[in-house]
Amino acid sequence: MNPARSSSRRPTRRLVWVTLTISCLAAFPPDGVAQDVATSGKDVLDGFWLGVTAGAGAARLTCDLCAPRDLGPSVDIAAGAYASPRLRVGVEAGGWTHLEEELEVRETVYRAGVTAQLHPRADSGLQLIGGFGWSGYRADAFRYDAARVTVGIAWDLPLAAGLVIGNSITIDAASFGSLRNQDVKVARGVGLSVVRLGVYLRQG
Amino acid sequence: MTRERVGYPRPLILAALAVVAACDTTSGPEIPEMIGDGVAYGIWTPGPHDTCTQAVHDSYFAVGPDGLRYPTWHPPVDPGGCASGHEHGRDPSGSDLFDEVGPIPFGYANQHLPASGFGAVRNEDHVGHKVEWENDMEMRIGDGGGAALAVRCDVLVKMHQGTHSPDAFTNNMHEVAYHLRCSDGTGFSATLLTPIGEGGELISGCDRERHLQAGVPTPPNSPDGGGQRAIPDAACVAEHVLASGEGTPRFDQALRESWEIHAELRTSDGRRLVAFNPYFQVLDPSRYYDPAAEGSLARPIDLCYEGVAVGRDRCEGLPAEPVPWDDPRSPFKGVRRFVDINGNTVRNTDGPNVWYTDPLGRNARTEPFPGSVRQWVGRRNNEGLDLHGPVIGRSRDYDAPGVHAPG
Repeated sequence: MNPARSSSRRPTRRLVWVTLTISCLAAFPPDGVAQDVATSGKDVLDGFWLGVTAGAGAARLTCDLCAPRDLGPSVDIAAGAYASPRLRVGVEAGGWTHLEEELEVRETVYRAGVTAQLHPRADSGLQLIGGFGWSGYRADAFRYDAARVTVGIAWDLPLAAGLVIGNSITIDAASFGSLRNQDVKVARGVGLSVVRLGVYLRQG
Repeated sequence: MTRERVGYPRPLILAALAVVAACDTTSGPEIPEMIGDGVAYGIWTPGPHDTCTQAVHDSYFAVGPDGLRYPTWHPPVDPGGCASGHEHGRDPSGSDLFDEVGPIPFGYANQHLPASGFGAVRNEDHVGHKVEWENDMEMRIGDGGGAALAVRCDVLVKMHQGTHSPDAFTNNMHEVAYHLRCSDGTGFSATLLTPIGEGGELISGCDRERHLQAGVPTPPNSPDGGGQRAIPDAACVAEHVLASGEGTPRFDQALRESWEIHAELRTSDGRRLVAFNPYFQVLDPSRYYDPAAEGSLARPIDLCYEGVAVGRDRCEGLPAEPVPWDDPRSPFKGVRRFVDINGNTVRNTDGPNVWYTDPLGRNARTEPFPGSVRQWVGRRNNEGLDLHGPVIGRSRDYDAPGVHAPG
């Protein structure tokens, strides 16, 4: 492994541990908290919701020449409406970034698309996440764009009326794209995967 | 008992290579039957410091793609114990490319210059051929690509870079044999006479703004090329050695040659197949340019016996009686060398792999022609990568018992 890559991962590894710790706390709600987490304390769910997720991600382009997975902070924002009491749909956008210190190059993955979050059981904080959209990778003049799908799971912990905190783990997967240096294709059949671990706050 | 040494590698390995070459569809010339001797073969003769016979020395040879016998790399001290007095750099058999490309024929491109219609000959001495190689080099990719991609390459290179005579003061055409194979499919084997800078002109080794007109090149119709030949001159010596006063003479700053080449293989319609631009660096050459000296040729060893350099820096430990420039005891023999690999570009997506060019790397065609030199180019276009290699050989020193200038 490139020593520079190793040293640049230390702050991000701390971020991952912090995220994991907060996720564990959110996964085990204290006694007495109502189990009807899908309703977040509301009698009838309707209207809109807004959420923001922050955490860490590990991203990698997949091809014969592609470099190993890199760690970095990740943030997302999503908003939408309730299709049913246990199903939220909406749009989301976010990004991940990593600085390759020795090369002085910043990698960034942008994403945007639609999302659906389903509570299989009304009395459980567990939710299943699905979505699709676009992912774009940028590193100076190098770029990659492709359609992606997202799958994941999350766990809600109601904080107050209409306010929920939780942890999530998601995987974004894009394929069949080309890595370009400006207008020149340098690699074909390239995939992009990002594994994200985050803590979210949702209103509504 | 007469030892018979059939080139380098040994006959059994040679036969095995022939079998491999017949089956290998990736690269490497077939090894033809030997039909004669190239001009470069058999030109070395032992000097007063050398204990190897010419026969032992000439038992190391390579058969080129043209079927001619050429000299090739050999150890400075033969396994039998004799010393040839010169070295050719790093033993190529340690390169991951050696089995594929075989021993490097020294003087292959020079051989075919007359037949190519160039109108002149350019023959170089034996001792100036220098080999360097590195396996699994981590390459730099430009424009941020190094964050996304990882490419490693093997390189095996031979440059004729004699640093003992006035040849390179004026003559800018020098043979280079360059073999590269990379994990992304970039690869080529190029042998050519590459014009380095302008014929007749050298650049001061310590001041790149100082251009020195040294005379008429040989041959006189040598074309100008990219790059430059940076060779130390008297001003470098004056500034970094003679003017050091109470300080330490700085021979490494004064005496450093940098041959910065820009070599290409181009088709007859001008399309560039291959481009590479390594910089070949030499410390402690046995010459520097001094227009006030006879033949404009001065010897650094003489600095050790006058002025501030006596007994200091590179002159430390020398005997009181002046050491001649071609004595093994002289520290100035150009055995410390390294190479900046720099950029490597291939544009050959549609192939073929085998091309034939003139000895200057021009007029590439798919069939041989009079005076042509065989080249190999991978089917690849890597222009989007801006692939650059590192510096190799910084820690290596090719001195050995008996080694002396000329070299």
